[in-house]
Amino acid sequence: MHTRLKKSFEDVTYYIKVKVCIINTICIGLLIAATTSCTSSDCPLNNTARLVCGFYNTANDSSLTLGDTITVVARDSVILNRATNEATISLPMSYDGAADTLVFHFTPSGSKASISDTLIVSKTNEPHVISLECGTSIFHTITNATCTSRTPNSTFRYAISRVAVSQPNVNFDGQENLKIYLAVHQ
Amino acid sequence: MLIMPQAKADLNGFKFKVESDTLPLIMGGQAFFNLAGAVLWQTNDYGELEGGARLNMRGKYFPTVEAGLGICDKTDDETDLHCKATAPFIRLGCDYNFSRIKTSPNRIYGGFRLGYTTYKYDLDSPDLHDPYWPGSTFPLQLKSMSSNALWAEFVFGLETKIWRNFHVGWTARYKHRIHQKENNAGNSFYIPGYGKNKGHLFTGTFNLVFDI
Repeated sequence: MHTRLKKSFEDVTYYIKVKVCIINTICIGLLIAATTSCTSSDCPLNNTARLVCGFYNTANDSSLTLGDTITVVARDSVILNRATNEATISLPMSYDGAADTLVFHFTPSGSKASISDTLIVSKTNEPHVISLECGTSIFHTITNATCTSRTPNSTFRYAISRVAVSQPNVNFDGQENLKIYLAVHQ
Repeated sequence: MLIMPQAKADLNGFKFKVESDTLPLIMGGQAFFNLAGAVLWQTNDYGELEGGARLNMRGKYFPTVEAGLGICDKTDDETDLHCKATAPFIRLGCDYNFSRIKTSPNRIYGGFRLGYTTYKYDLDSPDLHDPYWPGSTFPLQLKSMSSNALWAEFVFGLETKIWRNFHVGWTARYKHRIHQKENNAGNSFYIPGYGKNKGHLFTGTFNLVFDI
C-alpha cells in the first residue's frame, strides 16, 4: 500500500514537472519572439562631409593663423560667417554640380572694408548612406582646385596665392583636404 | 525508430542514468519551422521564413541545417530612407543535448551555427536637399548592390513535446558577424538570416518541431 501511494505521488510530481516545463518553454519562446525586434541606434553627431582647408604662409610653407576676419560665400549664401584667428576652416560642399565656387572675403581687424579671392574646387559627388536611422551624406573626391591670385598690400595684408590638394577624399574623417597658401604683406 | 536504452533508476531521488553509448548512432530526425521569424516578418518590416532539419545521434548530438528566405522592406519614418532585400540563407551547425535522459522528448540544447548569405539590396529615398547650398539636391537611387555575409551563432534552447510527434521549442541566439562585403555607398539595413546589420546581436527563434 505504501509503495503504491509513493508511486502515485511520483507520477503526479512527474506530470506536474512536465506541464511546468511545457508552459515555461512556450512562455519564454513567446517572450523571445516579442523581443527579437528590439533595436537601438548610435548615430554620429557629425553627419556632414566637410572640406577642410588649412592656411599656410607662401613664404615658408608653415601653418598660418589668419589675423583677418574671414567669411566664405557660395551661390549667394554664407557658408562660413566671420571666423577669426583661424588656421583651419571646414566648409560644406554642394550635393550636386561638378565644381564649387567659393568666394573668400577677408576683412582686416578694425575695418569694415573687405576684399575677396575666389577658389574653384572641382569634385565628384558620391552618396553615402550612414544607416537607415542616421540618414545620408554626400562624400566627394576633389579632382582639381584653382584660385585667383592677388598681391597683398598694407590695407589687406592677406591674399590667396595658390592652392594644393593634400587629401582628395572629403568625408567624416576631418583630415585636411586643401592647403591654401597666402601671401602676407610684411 | 527508437530503441529503448538500458536505464538505472533511483526512484527516491528521481535520478535516471542512461547508458547513452548503448543507443543507436542514428535515432531519427526532426524537421522544424521558425514561427517567430514568420510573425516578425508579418508584424515588422523584416523577418525570415525559415525551417530546418536535424539528425538525432545517440540522443546527444544533433547536426542541424537551417535554411530560409530573409525578407526586408523597410522605410525609416524620420529619414525616409528605404531598404529592400530578399535573399536565401543557410546555417549549418550542431547542438548538444544537456538533459540527463537522452531519450526524453524534453531537451536542453546548446550549440553553434555558421551562417552564410549572398544577396542584393536597394537603398533609395526622396531627393536629398542640401541644407547649406540653396537649390542643391541629389537623387538617391542605389539599386541592386551586391553583398555577402558570414556569421557565427551560439545557441541555447529548450524543447518539449506537446502532442504525438509534435514539439515546440525556443532558442536564444548570440550572433556575431564574421565577414561582410561592404559597399562605399552604404550597407544594407538587414542581412538575410542574420537580422539587423550590426556587429553582434541577440535574437531568438520559436520553433514548431515534427519528429520524422
